[in-house]
Amino acid sequence: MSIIDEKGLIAMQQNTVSRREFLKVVGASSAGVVAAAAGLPVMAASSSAAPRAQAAEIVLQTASWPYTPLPETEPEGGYSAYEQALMIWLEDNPNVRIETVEVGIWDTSALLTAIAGGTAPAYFSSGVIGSWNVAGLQAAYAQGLVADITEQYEAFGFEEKFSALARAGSAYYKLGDRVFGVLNEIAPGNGIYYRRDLLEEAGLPEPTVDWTWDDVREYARALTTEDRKGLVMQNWGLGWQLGAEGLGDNNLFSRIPDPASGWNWKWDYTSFPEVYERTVARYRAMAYEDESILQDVTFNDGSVAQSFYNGEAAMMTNPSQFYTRVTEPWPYAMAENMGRPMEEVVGFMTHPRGVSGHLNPAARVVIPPTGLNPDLTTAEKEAALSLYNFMEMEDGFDLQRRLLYEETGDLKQAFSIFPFPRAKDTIDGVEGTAADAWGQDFIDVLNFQAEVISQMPEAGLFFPAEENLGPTGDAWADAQSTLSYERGEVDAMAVLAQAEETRNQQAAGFVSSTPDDVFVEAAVAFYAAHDAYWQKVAPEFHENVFTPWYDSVIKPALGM
Amino acid sequence: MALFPKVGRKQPGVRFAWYTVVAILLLGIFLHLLPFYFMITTSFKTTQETFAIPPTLWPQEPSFKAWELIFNVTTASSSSERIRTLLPQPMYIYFRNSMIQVLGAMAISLPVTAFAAYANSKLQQGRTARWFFLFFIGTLMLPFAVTLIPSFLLTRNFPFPTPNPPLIPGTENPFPTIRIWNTPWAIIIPAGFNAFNFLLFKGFFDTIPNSIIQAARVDGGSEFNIFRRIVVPMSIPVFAVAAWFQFGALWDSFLWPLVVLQSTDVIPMSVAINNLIQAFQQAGVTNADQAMGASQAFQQALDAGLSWPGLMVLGILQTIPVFVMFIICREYLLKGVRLRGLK
Amino acid sequence: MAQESVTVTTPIGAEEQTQEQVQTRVTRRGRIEKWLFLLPALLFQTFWGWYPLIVAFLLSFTDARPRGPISWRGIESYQRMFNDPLTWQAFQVTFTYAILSIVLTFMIPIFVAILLMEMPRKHMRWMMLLWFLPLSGIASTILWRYLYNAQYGLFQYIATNILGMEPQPFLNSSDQVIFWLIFPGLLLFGPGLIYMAGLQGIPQSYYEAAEVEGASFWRKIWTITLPRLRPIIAMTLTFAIIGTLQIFDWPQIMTGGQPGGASRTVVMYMYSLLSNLRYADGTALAIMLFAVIFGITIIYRTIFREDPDA
Repeated sequence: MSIIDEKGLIAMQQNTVSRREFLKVVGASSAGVVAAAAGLPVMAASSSAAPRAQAAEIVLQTASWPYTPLPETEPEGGYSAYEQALMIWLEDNPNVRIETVEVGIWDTSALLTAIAGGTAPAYFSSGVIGSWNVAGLQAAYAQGLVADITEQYEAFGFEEKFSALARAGSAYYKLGDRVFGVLNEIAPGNGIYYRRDLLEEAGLPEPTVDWTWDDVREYARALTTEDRKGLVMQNWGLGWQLGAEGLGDNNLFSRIPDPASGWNWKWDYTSFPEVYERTVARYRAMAYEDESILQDVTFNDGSVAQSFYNGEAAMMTNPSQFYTRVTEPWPYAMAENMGRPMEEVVGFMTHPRGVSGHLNPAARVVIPPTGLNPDLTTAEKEAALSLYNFMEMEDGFDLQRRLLYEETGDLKQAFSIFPFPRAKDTIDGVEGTAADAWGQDFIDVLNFQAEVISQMPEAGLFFPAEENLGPTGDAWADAQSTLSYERGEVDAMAVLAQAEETRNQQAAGFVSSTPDDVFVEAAVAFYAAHDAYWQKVAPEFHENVFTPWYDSVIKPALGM
Repeated sequence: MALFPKVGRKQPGVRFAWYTVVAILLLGIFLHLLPFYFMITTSFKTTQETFAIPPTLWPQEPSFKAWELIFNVTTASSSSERIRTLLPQPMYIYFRNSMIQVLGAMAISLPVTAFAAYANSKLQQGRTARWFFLFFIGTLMLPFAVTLIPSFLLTRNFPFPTPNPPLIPGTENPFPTIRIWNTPWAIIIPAGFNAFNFLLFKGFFDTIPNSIIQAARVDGGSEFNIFRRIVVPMSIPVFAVAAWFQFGALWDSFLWPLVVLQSTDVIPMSVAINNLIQAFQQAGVTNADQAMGASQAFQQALDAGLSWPGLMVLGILQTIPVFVMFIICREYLLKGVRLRGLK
Repeated sequence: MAQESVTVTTPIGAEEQTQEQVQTRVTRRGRIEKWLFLLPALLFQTFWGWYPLIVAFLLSFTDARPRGPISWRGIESYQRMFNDPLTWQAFQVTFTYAILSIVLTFMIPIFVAILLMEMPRKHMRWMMLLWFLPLSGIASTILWRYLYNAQYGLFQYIATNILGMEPQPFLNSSDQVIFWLIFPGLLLFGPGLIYMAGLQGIPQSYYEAAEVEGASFWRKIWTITLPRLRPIIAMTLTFAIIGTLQIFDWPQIMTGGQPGGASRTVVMYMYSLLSNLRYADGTALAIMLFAVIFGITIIYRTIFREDPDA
């Protein structure tokens, strides 16, 4: 529903008043938005000292993401909130045109091909070519597949505008001191969603940040009934449990620095056998004895969400960002279908801790950065980032959310996809905070994830990027799925030893581009950071598990 | 009914075999139709119902919402639905593009491939024929993903498989190049020879007895006339099958058009629709990182108001031309019987 | 198998000749025409078929990347892939998949086509429609994922409730996953159309003559139908071999290579490498596969010579 009525539209078309000023007036008279009358700067004439797009015509070709052009004629229901914000920006930047092109920006082959041939769109999600993790993204940046926007980043002052959480994840969009991406979205951390109402029914207390996987097992068992399982997980579910202990894949205890070898890293899946066996045994017990897990080798995030939505499972593991999504099949829609307020029905808690209190790195912030086409000219980059700045960091964002709120009256819709990439976590013209929208306890969990877990040292910030990514993660995925799905007796340590051997054999074919001395220096700093971190955050873990390992394995490897 | 004996038809043994055959054929039909039935019923469900496990056989609350959504997009470029951000052009434009590209490619490819197959089958012999055979089908043996980038670069700067043409040595000027990228030619020309159809034609031409050809040669007449007057009328069934397979393959081809076409006024239907379908399939995700990526594409579609029912509608629209083409080809396939009845 | 001997009366009533004895004599003008027949295909295939292939082949000897300078690396990628245990596992999976797939599913469309030809015309037409239409990709995926689900899938229901068996793992077992991935292929009768085209050419009189001689159902198929289809079967078998050794889409969507890598084919591993920006390694692996397929095809065609004039 458009705020702009017919008279206003005519006035605008006659250029008797700029859209911006008009919206300021309309905003003030609109019911409920009292704040505007109090002189809130609804629309500044120009936002901050951000550079404007230059005079020559600039065409931004986008593949319908994240920005689309205005429709040619006004749609029946009026312009959407996004379109109204876009109109303002276009007014300020009349020489810029947005054009839609069809490029496969979600398909790795298609996007890589387009970038190779110079036909990529202005914006894309860098994770598509960067495997969605820090190492992959940094390799993509090192290979020049994404535009270097360091200059524009500084000119627009994004460092100050980004939230603390966004900055905690800087390894995702920075390489050294050069910047390659901005943020349209943040995934604050992974965790477990649970049905509050069912928990209450079963008489279970709400989980806290200190809960463990043994607790989860109890919960799952208690919540399993004839037509419902306690927990549903993706096909890599075992990985959550191992990650809680710092084991598996590329986690803390699984990689040992090995400067003598070519690749500099050695995989280790056989230390801590007791912990491995206990964890694997617990997972398999949950799956095959308690039968409290809904799992299948074909499950991914969507299937898990679907099962939770249908009530087939009382808990699910999924990133926290879906808590604030207002479309199907996420909890918001589920609560709506049940006709009950969301707070009553769905809760979220970060991942359970591991032995002695180790925190699961899966609950760290994940950022899917937005990258620009490396072939853009400076003027085009500026235009692209000016639009981004307006839409995500500045007035455009506030306007969109405010219009959405006025249209729906739902604070949750205004604060959807929270936390925002920008530091300002309120919306001009909307009374209320994210805590009002989503519940203080959810915000508390987010804060815990942001302030504690996301501060975990990130390898990408210490070690120089590798252009060649080394062995793929397939060998670990294989071991994980064997441990999860193989029926009967499974010799966990044999499977893990095999995965270790495979990965190391694969690594033997690579030579790192980092010289040994640089590597050792980085490694020393990295592990020292871990030392300090765990001492502060999980002292018991630090004393009983980390320090012995640090002293007996890491220090000798680094010649300390 | 030539296989089943005319005599002794009433015998219980034959009867039993006959009914078994019919039963197997009917079972096959049933299992074959299940996905289509599923697509059609899902397109009439509400989004919520599509998530139900086990899938409901019949829509509990039939809803035309998905069909309305898609047809709003097909008829007008201005629609009140957000889905227009994902499908910027009306559907008939995509359809037109598909038809031009697919029929254009077939018009060139069928004759070119048939000629080559005939030559390899009847005009060549011995080792030459065998090497040419390998030459023609060898490219089937390498996965397409690997030649994607070189082929794509060729459409940009033919004949140089590089992002930019090299400079003429000693000057500042680049070599002249041909660019078919972002035009229908980028689909039509690379499809000019179809190795699979080559196999098909060759297999069929191999069944034609050489004596027929030889006799025609003795009669006088160029090879071309022999081909035209004798071989082609005999081969209508295989042309029909080749046309059908190529149409199906080109109509549904997704990755190549996605890469070589960009402007929304040359995009074919398969690309427009498959972009959305890929988002929902979330293929091959085996760890949390990949899941993040799959989710982003999924969300883009969801935010635009597209969900399973809408996706099914698109899938049905995508399948209808294939269906129509099949019916056309089937007629030509069965025509063969009448033409050869005399021999 | 009895060698086919077809006696044909030539139009000018010349003496009867058997097929093996006929020479294909090509005149000089015929030779020029032969090259004209071949030329367009040669051009297309050279520039759009082999040229990119050779470029890719050369790139596998470099540290190929989508952008930026490329440097020569020799056989480094090949060595790396050769020493990679996952490569060998992928080849093993691929061979198992291909063999199982061909053994189980190759003959069915042939018999379907033969049997379909036995139907009365009016039934044949709609049956063809219902059987040979290609299955929609996404509908199939959803359907089969549901059927195979180890906890609430229809097949599990049938196994435990109707057949009274232990709960089956279906796709979750590394031993059985390949079989279950191939199973839907039993319903893919598409190639049957090709055989129908070939069957059109078999005159009814042959069958009638054979019946007079007292041939049974199976004997008729063996002596008349199959020999006639032989060149066509040879071609579709060639394509089946080439195709199944490169299988990618279906297992990728259903299992992503799991469990334990038991459903990861060579092309799937190659795709994983390409997605990790290891273009040269992925290309090297693909070339290795190419060499294997090429070799198998040559061997196959040498052993089973189908060209009457070869």
